[in-house]
Amino acid sequence: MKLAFLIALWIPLSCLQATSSINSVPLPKNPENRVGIKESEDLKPDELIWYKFYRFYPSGGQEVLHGLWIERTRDKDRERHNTHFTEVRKIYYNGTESQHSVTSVWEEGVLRKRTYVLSEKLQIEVQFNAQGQEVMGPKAKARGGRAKRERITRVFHEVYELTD
Amino acid sequence: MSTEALLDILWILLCAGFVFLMQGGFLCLESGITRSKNSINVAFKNIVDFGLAVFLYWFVAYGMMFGTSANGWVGWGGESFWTFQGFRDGFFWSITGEEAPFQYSVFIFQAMFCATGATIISGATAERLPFYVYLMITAVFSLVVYPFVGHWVWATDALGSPSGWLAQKGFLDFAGSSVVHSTGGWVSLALLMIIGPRIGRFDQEGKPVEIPGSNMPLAMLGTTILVFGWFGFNGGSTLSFGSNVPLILMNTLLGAVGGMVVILGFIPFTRKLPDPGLVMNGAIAGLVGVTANCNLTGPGAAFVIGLVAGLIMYGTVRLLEYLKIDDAVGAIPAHLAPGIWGTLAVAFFADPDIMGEESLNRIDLFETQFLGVIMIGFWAFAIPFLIFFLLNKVFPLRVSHEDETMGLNISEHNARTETIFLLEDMEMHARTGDLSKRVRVEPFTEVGQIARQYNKVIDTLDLTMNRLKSILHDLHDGIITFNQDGNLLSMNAAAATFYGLDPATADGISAWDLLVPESREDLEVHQQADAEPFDPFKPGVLQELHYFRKNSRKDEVVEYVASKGSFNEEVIYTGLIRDISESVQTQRSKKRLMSKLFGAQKTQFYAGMCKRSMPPLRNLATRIHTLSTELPRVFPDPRLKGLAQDAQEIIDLTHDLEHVEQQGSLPVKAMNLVDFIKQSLVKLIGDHPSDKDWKDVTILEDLEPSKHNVVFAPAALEQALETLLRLSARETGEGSKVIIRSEFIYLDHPLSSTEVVPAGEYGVIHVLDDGDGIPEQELDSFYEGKDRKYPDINLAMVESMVRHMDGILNVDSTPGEGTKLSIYLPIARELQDPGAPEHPEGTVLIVDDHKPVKQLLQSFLHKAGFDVVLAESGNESVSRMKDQDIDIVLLDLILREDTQARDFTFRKLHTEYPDTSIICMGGTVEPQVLASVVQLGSVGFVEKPLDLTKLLQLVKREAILKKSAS
Repeated sequence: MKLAFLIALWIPLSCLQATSSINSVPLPKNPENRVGIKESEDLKPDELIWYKFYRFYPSGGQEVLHGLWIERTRDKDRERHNTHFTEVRKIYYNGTESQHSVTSVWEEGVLRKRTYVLSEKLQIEVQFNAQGQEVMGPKAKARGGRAKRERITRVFHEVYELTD
Repeated sequence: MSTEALLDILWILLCAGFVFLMQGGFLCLESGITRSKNSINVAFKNIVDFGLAVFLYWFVAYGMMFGTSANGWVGWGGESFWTFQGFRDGFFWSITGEEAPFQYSVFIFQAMFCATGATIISGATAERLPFYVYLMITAVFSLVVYPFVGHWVWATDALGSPSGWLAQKGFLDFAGSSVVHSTGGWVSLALLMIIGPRIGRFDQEGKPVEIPGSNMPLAMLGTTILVFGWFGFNGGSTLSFGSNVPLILMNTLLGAVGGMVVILGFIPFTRKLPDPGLVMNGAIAGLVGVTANCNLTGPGAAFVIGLVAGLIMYGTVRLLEYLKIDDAVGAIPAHLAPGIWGTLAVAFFADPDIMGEESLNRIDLFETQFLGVIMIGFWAFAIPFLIFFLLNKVFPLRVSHEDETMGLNISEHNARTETIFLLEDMEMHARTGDLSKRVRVEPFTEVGQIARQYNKVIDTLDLTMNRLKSILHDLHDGIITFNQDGNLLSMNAAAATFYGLDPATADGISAWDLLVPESREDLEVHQQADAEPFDPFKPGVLQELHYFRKNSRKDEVVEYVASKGSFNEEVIYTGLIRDISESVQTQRSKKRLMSKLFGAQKTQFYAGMCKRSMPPLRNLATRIHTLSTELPRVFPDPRLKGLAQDAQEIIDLTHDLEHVEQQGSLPVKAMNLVDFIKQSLVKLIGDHPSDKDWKDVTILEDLEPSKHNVVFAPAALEQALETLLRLSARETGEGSKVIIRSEFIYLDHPLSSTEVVPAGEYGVIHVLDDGDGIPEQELDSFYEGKDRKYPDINLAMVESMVRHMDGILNVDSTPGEGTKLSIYLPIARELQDPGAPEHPEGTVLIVDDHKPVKQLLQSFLHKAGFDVVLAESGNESVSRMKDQDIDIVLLDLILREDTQARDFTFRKLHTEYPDTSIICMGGTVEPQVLASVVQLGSVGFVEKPLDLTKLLQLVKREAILKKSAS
């Protein structure tokens, strides 16, 4: 009888937690604010990695990475370095690299693909067509999926300072 | 939390409110479109299914629907389901985290969807399901059907990717054309196939019979609320407030319009009046049609989808009627069929710009959508069908016939309204037939007006019924009604009196037992030998029933005729019972009288025959008598003496017969009656003691000595006496007694209705027995001389002979008491004056226009010693007065003359002949008339029917007064 009562209660107890909510996934977080944060930005169109950006704070004569880290890599055509490239954004916490990252691919100056990495196995990949519109196949049209995805990517956009 | 996130939450909660309002829309629609006797039940189910569905959804089903997927079939296990984490963070305490507000909002929104799906079933199966069965159905839908299908289509993983197996294949159902509406429709279809149509939905030929809704405006309000709520249903299904929301709302609107417009366009072609139910369901069908695809299509496509959904709805209505599936509110046409269409329409109408041209393969999409429709249909139809089919075997899912007829408001909820009160009171009238009570009137209500008017009708009906009852009660004929089983339903007072029953307790008695009783102590029925067996059910045939009432020892005869009718499909027989005992008695008397007349004619015929045959016979007898008188001198042989006596008898007989032929009567002579009887008995019985008729019968004498002589023809009277004795002896049988009694009486009243006897003194011979009595019909055969057993007995001949002696034969037979045969013979002094009296007491003028009365009075007064003169009118009486010396006038006041003429006659007679006494006669004479004739000089008044003794006293008094005066 006790077991039956326990089971009867057991079922509803987890109802609200039973959803596959984004609470159960590791979302990126902004690094804590620190005094003396500096930025480094380096633009070298002739190099393969033609753009670098990071934030740091000096500590013991060393630069400790803390905050956003951006690196853009062009393909072989140097002339089109700013229209055909791949961008990787990471976050560092007091020199430690986050497990999250965002990788974006541009072709002919149009964002065509963006991958939000929450962990090695949890990644959101969004593709765009040549006009820059999101390509949404039937699977991407799952009811509420887009909203849930947007709630995740919105966090990425805020933390990784994505503007497009 | 970002502004966008807050806006999303606001939008979801707002839309959840919209969807909740749809519950009210369904309530109005379903209770308005069903009959008022079930409206409370239907509305109550809409409230209750919401509560139960949300409870079960929260308790179990939400986790099954949106929990971590177990192979895409159901939410199960994983890190959140079946763990204590839920107990800790979700049940007693609120959940935490950035996502928590979304989770609460989405749960509320999804719970409304679950309740909506469940409530569709309540409409389809309305008016025939017990309340507790509907709760089970809601539970099965909420636990077994909806969470599974919902998981297949709508479950996503933590990153928003589809986790249900159908969604992973690319199945699209944006807001639930299949997940909610088709699913509710499929379950409804499964149930309807098990429980069958409502009573009266299809006639005996299987044609659909329209069952009108109780409140169509309410149903229309419900539809309006549904359309309004649908904006939340579809608009909120984005689960965020995005830029696509306006398009979704517009598509929703146009879908509803398309469904409604196509039905309106249909109306001119159907040549029927607009059906509000179809138009409402057209709008709903359009909404259901766009629900799956309103996020993927343009407005024009949404309108077309809605339009086609309306057509499909109409076709499904006709299909269901053909299949004799009774969907009370049209849930299957409005939800299931358009839901399937809307799901498939995704493949046809998805906008490439929205879907992404690169990823849109319509054929693949159609295959996926089609697969989804099939699988959802299987799950939502087959499993509930199996469950409810088995449940129906254990206990019936449907309410009883009586409850359904009465209405579920009363049978399921004991809910009463003034309409119910009115119906109950009217039912009481119908059931009891007691119209003395009136129905309750609720003032200031529409039903109260109807009740008041109904009471007026009942007033009139009651009055008419009472008049009719009064007529039936006073009717001399008996009336009974009985059903085809022969059970008595009612009887009037005449029937109750005849059969000695109380009408109030006569219900249920068999008509057979009443009409043809077998074991009653006071009444027994006699089946007539020649008659067909009695059948109380034979309509239009006049049948006779012969009863013998044992207490009063009377034969009674009734005529019975049945008529057949029907009332409320029940066959009712009405039997009319008319007591014709008196009529039969009169008929018999008439028949007997005819036999007597015929007997007299025969006697006359025989007399005629005698006239020719008597002379040679008498000559022969005279010669034999002469020879037999003379011959003994030569041949002394004793046998010659007997021969002489026989010859003398023949001679006497011929004389008698000649007398009859010449005078019309037998030659009579005055003799002592007692002496004659004694001599006759010696001759009949004493000389023939071994005669078979009286050898076993004791014959007793009870003779009153008298000095009076009585006038009769001895030979004829002897023959008559012999006939009566033989008849009496034969009827009484072995060991019984026959008494011969004589007496002398003064007779002043008729012996029977047909025997008018002159008043006077008579010598009477009675032949009495103590047998069973002779039945009337048998007596008839004796009069006709046609009795098979005793062909030698002919009472008509006896009657004729007695009449020829100025006597009377009277037969009085009482069943069970015996028979009295009597011969009345006049006293001898009348014999001296067969014609006019030598010394008349006076002359009487009888003025009367009624011939029988005149003849009776003439005979009576003549025998009393008066000369009698007759007149028919006043004028004739005056001329008679001139011609003859009249002493007394007997004047009938009711002459066929007017009052003035009568008074003139009276005055004239009284003025011109003041010495003449005028005695008036009359029936019902008004007092003022009587007073006027007394004033004019009438010496007396005799009321009709005439009391002859009184009349004679008056006449004699006047005659004596006149003689004294002279």
